[in-house]
Amino acid sequence: MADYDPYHNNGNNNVNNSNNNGSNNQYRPPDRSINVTQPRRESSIDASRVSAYTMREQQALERLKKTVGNPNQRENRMSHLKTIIAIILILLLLALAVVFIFLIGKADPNRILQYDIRISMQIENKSALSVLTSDGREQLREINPGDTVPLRASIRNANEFYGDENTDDGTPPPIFVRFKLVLVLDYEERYDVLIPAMNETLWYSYPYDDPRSDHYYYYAGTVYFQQSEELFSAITFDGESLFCEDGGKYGQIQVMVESIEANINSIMSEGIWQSAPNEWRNVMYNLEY
Amino acid sequence: MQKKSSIELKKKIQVQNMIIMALAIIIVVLMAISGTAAWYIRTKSDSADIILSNPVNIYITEFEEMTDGSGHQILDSNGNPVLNHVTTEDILEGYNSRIYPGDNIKLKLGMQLGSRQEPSSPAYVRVKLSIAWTKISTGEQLQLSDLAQDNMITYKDKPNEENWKLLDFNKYSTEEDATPDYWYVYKTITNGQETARIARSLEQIEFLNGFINLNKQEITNAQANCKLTINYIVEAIQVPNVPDPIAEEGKGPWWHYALGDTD
Repeated sequence: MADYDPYHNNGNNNVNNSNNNGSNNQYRPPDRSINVTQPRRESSIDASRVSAYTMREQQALERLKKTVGNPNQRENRMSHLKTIIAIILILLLLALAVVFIFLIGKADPNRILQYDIRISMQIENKSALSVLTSDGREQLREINPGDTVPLRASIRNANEFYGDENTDDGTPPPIFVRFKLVLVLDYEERYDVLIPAMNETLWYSYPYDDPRSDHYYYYAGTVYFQQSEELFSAITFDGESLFCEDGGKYGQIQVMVESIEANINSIMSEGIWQSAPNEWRNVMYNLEY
Repeated sequence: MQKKSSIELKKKIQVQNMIIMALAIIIVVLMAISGTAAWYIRTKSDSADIILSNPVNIYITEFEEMTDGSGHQILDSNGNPVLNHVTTEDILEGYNSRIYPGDNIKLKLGMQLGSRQEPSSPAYVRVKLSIAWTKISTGEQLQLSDLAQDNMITYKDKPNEENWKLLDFNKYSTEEDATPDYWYVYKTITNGQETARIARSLEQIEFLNGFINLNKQEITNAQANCKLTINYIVEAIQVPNVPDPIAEEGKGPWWHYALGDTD
């Protein structure tokens, strides 16, 4: 069988074709097979140029991958980063726990027992705010601007206002005290209306309109277990601060007292009651030393 | 295979996110708690209810003598005409006549303490008339002067002196160039002693029923083509905790410089 090379035709085939055309006989090529492993003919493409072009494309692609990164690689990196963050947070948590245990271990056990801070307070003479009607009913007495009402309030270093026993844990600690006096009128806290009658050498506060004011009165001294101290002996409703718009309204006098263990360091350097007047802090320092 | 590992990676990252968030929250909460729990503080509170008295309310009125069907004045048991007070906010409303120095203006001025809707606490009362004028061409308000100073306007008919006492509430001023501040105070005489009269809720009080006069000597070309404004001012102040302004001169909130003030 003669080899037929469709891509390398020789002149014979062409001759046969022309002859066939002339005699109207259809040309039937002989049985043949195509060898696909061979190029049809010599390539006119410069293989070296194609290779260089492809190389440049590949290099650019590599550079792009390095810049942008493979998505999986990026997520892997993020995952590693988050693992590191989680480890840091766990270490921080452990450090906090260690510091807490260390501080507890260093603390004076006697002092821990003394954290049994006690305080009692009550407003006395509330009946001064009411009157009896002709039919025997008790109703609130109308307060006029400038009125002074004999309300008084005291605090006591004890669980019960009228007395308290020591506990088995020892004597409860002495305390520092501060209190706040406010008139709530129409859901509004008014610190300008109530003027307490008090011993001004014992209680310190900034004026209510001073921007430094926290509206607390600070007691210059220490209240020992089962000792009482008067907060105020009467309250005056300041006529300069009440206006016609306030007339006829119901209100509530609120007294809130707060105590901490009497420890001079806590108010001088440990940052508690930071908004207290400096004058009070100085007095307390001088009392202590 | 690669797709499966990608899904696992995403799940892993989600778990890590949750762990980090949880740890961060725990640390923040612990720090907050340890910060606030650094002190042992105990608090107690108590309260007491109060009610404030009614405010003082006062309204200016203009009044007229009441007449019967035949046009005769109705008199009370003391022979005084019965007056009908009408609450107003604008005395001389609609009075836009051109006026000249020397003109008289008729005023019927009164007041009422409180109303049925807004009752008033008992009060001391004082009244003043003042005048301001505005230059029509520029809108500039030139001056406010007190009627009782007897300069721009004079009372041709004075208020009833049995009921009103003229007081200078600046008389105790320590300033050298202090100007008087005259007010008429509602008064009564008890046992020959003048005291401020206490007005009660819904009480209607007559202040002036007569003419005021534009002073020919004081009103000059400076006030020509000016709009004159007569101010009728009534003030009421609660009785409790306020000293009687007549019996205790120089004491109380109405006085600019209370007796004993040094500044």
